[in-house]
Amino acid sequence: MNASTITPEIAAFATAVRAALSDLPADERDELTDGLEADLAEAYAEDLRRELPDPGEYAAELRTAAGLPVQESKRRGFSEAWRGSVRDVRSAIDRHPALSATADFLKTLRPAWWVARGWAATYVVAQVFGGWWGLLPGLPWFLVAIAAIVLSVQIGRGRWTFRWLTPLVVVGNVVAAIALVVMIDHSANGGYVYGSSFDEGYQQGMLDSGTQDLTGVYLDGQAVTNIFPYDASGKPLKDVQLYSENGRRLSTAVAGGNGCLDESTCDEYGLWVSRALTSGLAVFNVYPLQMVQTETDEMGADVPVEGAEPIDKPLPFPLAPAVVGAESDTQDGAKADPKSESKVSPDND
Amino acid sequence: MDATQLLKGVLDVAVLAVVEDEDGYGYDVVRRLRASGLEEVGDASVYGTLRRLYTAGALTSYVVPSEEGPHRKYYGINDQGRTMLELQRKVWTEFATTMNTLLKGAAA
Repeated sequence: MNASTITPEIAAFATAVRAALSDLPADERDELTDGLEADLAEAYAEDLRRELPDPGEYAAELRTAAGLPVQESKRRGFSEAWRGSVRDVRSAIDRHPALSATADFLKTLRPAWWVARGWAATYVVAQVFGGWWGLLPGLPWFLVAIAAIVLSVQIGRGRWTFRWLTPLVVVGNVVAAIALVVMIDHSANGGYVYGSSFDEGYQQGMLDSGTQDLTGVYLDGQAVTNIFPYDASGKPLKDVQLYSENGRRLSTAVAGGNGCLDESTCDEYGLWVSRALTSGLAVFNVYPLQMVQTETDEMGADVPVEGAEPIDKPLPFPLAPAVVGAESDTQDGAKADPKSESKVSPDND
Repeated sequence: MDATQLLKGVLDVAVLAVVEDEDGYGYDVVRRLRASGLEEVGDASVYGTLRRLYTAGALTSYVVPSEEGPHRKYYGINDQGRTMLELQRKVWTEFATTMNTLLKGAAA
């Protein structure tokens, strides 16, 4: 037996090996690693050029050779647990013919992903510097994108690999995937006709929400779903635009807002229908609002039934009491004289 | 062909054969296997195999205290281990003969 000393490196290595076996019962682990330091010390005393292997791999070899199960444990390192999960998923895919065929197909698409993630990475960086918002960048960012794509492809081909790079690539892939979705969403919304009104309504809703969703119009704490204007003579009006005191549209609905198609039965849902303005905006402050019958599409969203016409909602009452002193004037706006009109104009409130 | 892959299948019988000659501790067994020509054998594989053969009842184990260094755990073969070794020797010899014949036939 050679005289050998246990160096701090060997002691640390043995500790790491035991840690990697920590999911085993204590006596099993002790039996397996009993004399480990002495064996290692002797081995390295004999051959000084030897390098200590990776303790995780060493422990795995020890475990396999001893016929012990490769178990995942919370106490094992994250990267090992991750590698274990990846192995499990891979073997599950391999066992399933349809899945493995799909996996093979997706593998052939990997180069496209390498290009896309290089592009997306540049997009993310450009966002930080505020340089690129559309689908295509200007020349400087275009050159950066080319460089990023070259880098991404080289990493993808395994030409440039470093141990420390692996977690970075995993995180980078996730960020790139999210960035691509945002990017596609941005460019898709750019060409969306009703984008502005939807965003406006939605953002206002988000702004108003705070802790509680207060989007819309409320009366005594209850949401108002529709407004029925009547003229001075008490007749119902159509296509009346309503604004708040500071000029904001008095909208009881937002895009995608739904409700009962028929309040009495409520067996079908309807979407509130926006109205187009000559300015090109689609708005929800033209009253009374109409509704269109909906169905659920394959994505689970409510969409109007194809070919369905917007329908009027029933009036709360066919006629309202007339306004004293204004009935004859406002029945026909053309005949109204300025003096009496001013009495019913909200401007003078 | 990768010799380390072949080694995995025959490590049990190789370790048993080494220990049959003389009792040995972990690294001692590794050294003797390497000296016999199995240079690719991994330390951890040998230690794990020793442990497994011990659990299977093919080896005995005893600790030898050391005055200057850490103690050594020695492994020795027992009757069950010898029976196992004899059986595996036969299996190996038959297998090796079959393979030799097959490979010679393929080369001719």
